[in-house]
Amino acid sequence: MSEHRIRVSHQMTTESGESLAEQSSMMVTFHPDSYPLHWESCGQLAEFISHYTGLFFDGQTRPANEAETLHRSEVEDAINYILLELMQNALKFNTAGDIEAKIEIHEGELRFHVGNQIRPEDVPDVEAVFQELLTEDPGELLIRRIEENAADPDSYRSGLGFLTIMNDYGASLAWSFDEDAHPDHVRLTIITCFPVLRSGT
Amino acid sequence: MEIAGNEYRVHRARDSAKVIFEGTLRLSGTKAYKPIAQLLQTVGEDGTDIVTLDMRKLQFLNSAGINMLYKFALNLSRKGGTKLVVYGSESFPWQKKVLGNLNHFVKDLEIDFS
Repeated sequence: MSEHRIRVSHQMTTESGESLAEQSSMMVTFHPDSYPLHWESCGQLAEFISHYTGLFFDGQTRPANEAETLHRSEVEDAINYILLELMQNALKFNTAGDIEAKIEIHEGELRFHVGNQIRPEDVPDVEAVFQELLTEDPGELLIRRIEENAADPDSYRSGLGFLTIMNDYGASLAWSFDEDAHPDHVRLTIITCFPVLRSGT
Repeated sequence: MEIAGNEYRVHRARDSAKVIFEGTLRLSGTKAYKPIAQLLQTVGEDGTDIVTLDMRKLQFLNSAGINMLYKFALNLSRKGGTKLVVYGSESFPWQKKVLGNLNHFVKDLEIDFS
């Protein structure tokens, strides 16, 4: 019998006392084929993980001799936005099977991995979207996309999700395709790295 | 005029070209934002000198909502003759980013975080 899974793991580095939150992670797996994943649940998950992860950024776990990390409210705000966008995207485009979300705390950055499944014939289109995001300046692309959307009253795709993640939050984007997924489907995992060290420090 | 859901409320202040946003807006896509987009469009077409968006109590806006906001702001700016005033809150870090981007494509704009 399928069930939703939540896995939390911590490997706090205590030997040196400098990297308390070096490697922690949380993974949530949804099985929409058995239990529908509702749109609202994406927001609830993003909120929960943002508050949970925010506890690592309360000022007490910050390495004393290293660069300053972002304030807890900034980290929670970023997680809430980035994870919601990735989850809503995964739910919107999932064609079969599980949706997985994982967040890892590394030194200096948070890494989000969100995976869903797509049809093999859609892989080239997805790759084209990501290639455009990686080869163009996100700020310029954002303005161009806003202008295109404003010019088309009937457009129903904003295309601003990944762009705002990159432009507004300074996050980087990567992706992988895994063919060992659900039969006749490809698993798409989007990886987003969000820097939590304040720039200039 | 008011549009409300479980987590949000968007309404036009009485006899005013001011739209007040409250709560959390993370609707499922551009189509879901249509009623709010139409409310904004109605206010924008009134021919007033100033349109005000009060977002001080808006805790969250997803990318489809950001698209709605930018689309409205850009079309209002292109039409000309109307200043856009936006009130934001520093309590919600995303607002500095999202509202700050308006500076790149709205000509007659005032953003107030006080």
